[in-house]
Amino acid sequence: MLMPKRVKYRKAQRGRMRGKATRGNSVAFGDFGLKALEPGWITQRQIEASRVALTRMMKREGKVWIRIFPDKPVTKKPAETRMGSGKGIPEFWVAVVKPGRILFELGGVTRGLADEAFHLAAHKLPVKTKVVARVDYESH
Amino acid sequence: MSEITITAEVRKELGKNAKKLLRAGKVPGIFYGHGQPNIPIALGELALRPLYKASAARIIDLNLDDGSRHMCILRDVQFDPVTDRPIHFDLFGLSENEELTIEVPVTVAGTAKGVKDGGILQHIMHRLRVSCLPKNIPDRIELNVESLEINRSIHVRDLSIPNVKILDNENSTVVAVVPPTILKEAEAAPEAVPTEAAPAEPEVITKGKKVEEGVEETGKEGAGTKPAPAEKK
Repeated sequence: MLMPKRVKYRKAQRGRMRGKATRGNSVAFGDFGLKALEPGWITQRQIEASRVALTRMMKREGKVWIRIFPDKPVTKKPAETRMGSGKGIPEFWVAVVKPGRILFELGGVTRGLADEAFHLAAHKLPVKTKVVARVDYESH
Repeated sequence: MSEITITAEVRKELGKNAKKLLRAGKVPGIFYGHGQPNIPIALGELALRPLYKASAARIIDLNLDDGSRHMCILRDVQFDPVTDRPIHFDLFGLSENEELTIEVPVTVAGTAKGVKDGGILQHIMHRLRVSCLPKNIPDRIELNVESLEINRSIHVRDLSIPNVKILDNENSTVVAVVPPTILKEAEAAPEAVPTEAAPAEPEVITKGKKVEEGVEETGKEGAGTKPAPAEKK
């Protein structure tokens, strides 16, 4: 699963997810992309599950790009622990996603296959999404 | 090079007031050029679509409602990140004797030999930056990939267009045929699933880093060892 190799700080504050994605909001590598329509945290497992769904659907065709990376640690306190005594231990990693962010891209496949693959991948994600094509793709 | 004629209006809503146009189904834009005045304009969203959806660079014959006429190209379009609707566009005025820089679409023709053998065609650069006179702007750069075998690629240095200078790095790859590596991933994927079931790994790696980075920290972090008492209930 995706996670950073090295980090400067072991724990992070939760932060807020206001506004829209100002970067990574257009299809840059492939022909089609899966775009987030809501803000949310996407965990490393959800990313991996979506990736597996995409690659299995596409079989030998095409190429998949993952445009997000889970670089934010999320901590949790152990079960049945009293409050206080400091922040919990890091449990998993998430990618912070704002509306408009391209999550995955596909290249070298037809629109129909991309729609089906993204449909499966989107079911593994905690945010609403839509499938978009590269700006000048239609007329190819 | 193909031409397209559009009729736009000169807009009076400037700055933040231009958002009113978006609500009315129009897109605010700007016309500018070397030695030419800046003219704020507005165009219907549907009329703008053929300009940016085209897979060919086009010269635009811009007719304004004040009676003026300008030859220009579409330099930029900004989109709303969520709705993907255009929110602003730039038109760049042309001068006949002045070279300009423009992005020209790259299209692929034919089926590569490598694809027939099971490879995957990767179209890496969809647009190339070129410099030329307006009369020499190519519609598109069409690449014939029929003879391209697996592990072969076409680079920018392999392209030559008369009267046109390509500005992108000559070592950049435009199109490549790669072997189907996804098959191996697909085999590896079922194995990867059980490893997901053991999610303790991220912590181990983080701790490992901590040990490397944080030799000093462990000294400092008397507090780091203190959280252990959290287990006291």
